[in-house]
Amino acid sequence: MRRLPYLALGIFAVQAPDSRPDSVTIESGTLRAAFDKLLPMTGRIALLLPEADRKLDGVSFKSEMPYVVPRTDAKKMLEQLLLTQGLALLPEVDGLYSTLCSLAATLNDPHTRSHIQTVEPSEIPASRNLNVPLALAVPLAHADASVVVESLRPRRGELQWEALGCTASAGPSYVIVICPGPALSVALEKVHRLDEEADLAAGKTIEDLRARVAALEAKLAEKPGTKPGR
Amino acid sequence: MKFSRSAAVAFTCALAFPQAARLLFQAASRAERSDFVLVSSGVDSRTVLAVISELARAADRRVSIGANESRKLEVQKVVLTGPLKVPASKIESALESIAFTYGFIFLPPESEDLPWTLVDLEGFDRNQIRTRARLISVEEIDAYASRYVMVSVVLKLQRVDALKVSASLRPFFPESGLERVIAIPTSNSLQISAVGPTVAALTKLVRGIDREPTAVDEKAEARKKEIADLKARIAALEKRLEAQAGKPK
Repeated sequence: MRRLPYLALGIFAVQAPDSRPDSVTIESGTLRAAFDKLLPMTGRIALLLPEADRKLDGVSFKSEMPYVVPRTDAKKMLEQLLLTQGLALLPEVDGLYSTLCSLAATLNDPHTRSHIQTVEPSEIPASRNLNVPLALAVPLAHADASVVVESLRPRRGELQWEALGCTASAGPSYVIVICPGPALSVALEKVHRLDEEADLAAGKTIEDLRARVAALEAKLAEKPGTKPGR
Repeated sequence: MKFSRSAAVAFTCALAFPQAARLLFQAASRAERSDFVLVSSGVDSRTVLAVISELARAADRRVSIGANESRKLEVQKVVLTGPLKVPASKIESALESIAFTYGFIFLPPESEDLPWTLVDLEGFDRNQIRTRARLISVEEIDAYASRYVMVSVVLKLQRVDALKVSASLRPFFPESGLERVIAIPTSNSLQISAVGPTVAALTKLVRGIDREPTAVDEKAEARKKEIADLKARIAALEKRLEAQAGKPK
């Protein structure tokens, strides 16, 4: 019984009230206004690098009407807003804080490059909304890797390829793609489609070649005294 | 005893760098080490130098900073959106992480009595960064996955050609800088030199590439072989037809 007050104190400490509001209202304005409202809702602390900090003030967005973002959606909303501007909150020291920086520097800046997370194909669905640079080696069964890399390039504009720090390189039987989660999903779909097309093309090639063999063998068989065999 | 040893270190630094007027942050004693709250936001934001020196003291790490580096660190400010409480166990990682964010890296001391050296990634001493990288084993990679110190590891590849893999990783290091991947053809290995998190990510990527062939791979190989066989058969048949056409009736 004498321990009860201590126990009560312990429970009180664990259940400290959360001072964050249940929702915030986002209106048209600068990206900073939205950032300043949404970030505290996520419970994260950000380190603002000068270039990214300036971008928060320099970019504004319009919303037809104010909309309410519940706390549960604040993280997703914030990451989407940042991604549209090629920015990302990169987690540091196991999520102790996050650095706001430009994704365009993914490969050129050793710090941003160090935040590339390698994912496996099975992890793609879970990382679809992850706004951090992700690296994936996609095995190719049929398509030529250099052709796949070339065909990813024309979509730069569509994917904001460079602004989002995306890149692709060819290996012997794979391509390595680096993109933030949402762009990586799009790139991956394209790679798979190209590989399937190459598979179909290979199937068609085999059919054509078999037909050609059959035709040649038939031609040889027409001649008396010849056998179409080996 | 501790004081006399630190004084000797400071003296050594002064001797080693007579014109550089290096700063030397004295570490706190281990008994004083506790959680650290970093406040650096808005108008109260502190310089990177101030933040690094505070964290170095809290991390119990003696640091030597050259005059050029010191000037550069004084110009930049650390802007946080709120007070940052750093648990005692993570102060070292936070220190290295913040320094690296602003383009600096810590070089470990060459002997126990010497301080760590903070080096500018683009400064005159940058050549030291790679030469003083820690050579680690594959088993140690995870331990360095959140440490911003330069490490070097050799990965042996089982199934794929190291030369081809290193070529495919080259675009990820566009600047001819400190971090790099080199193939060692004689042992079919890759040497990766980079900071801990980059080495961890690249290792995972390389392991994904250096995998067992799947059923899809086998089907693709079988198709390639069939196409090659059919082409060879067509060439042989065409040759026979040509020969036959050339024969007098």
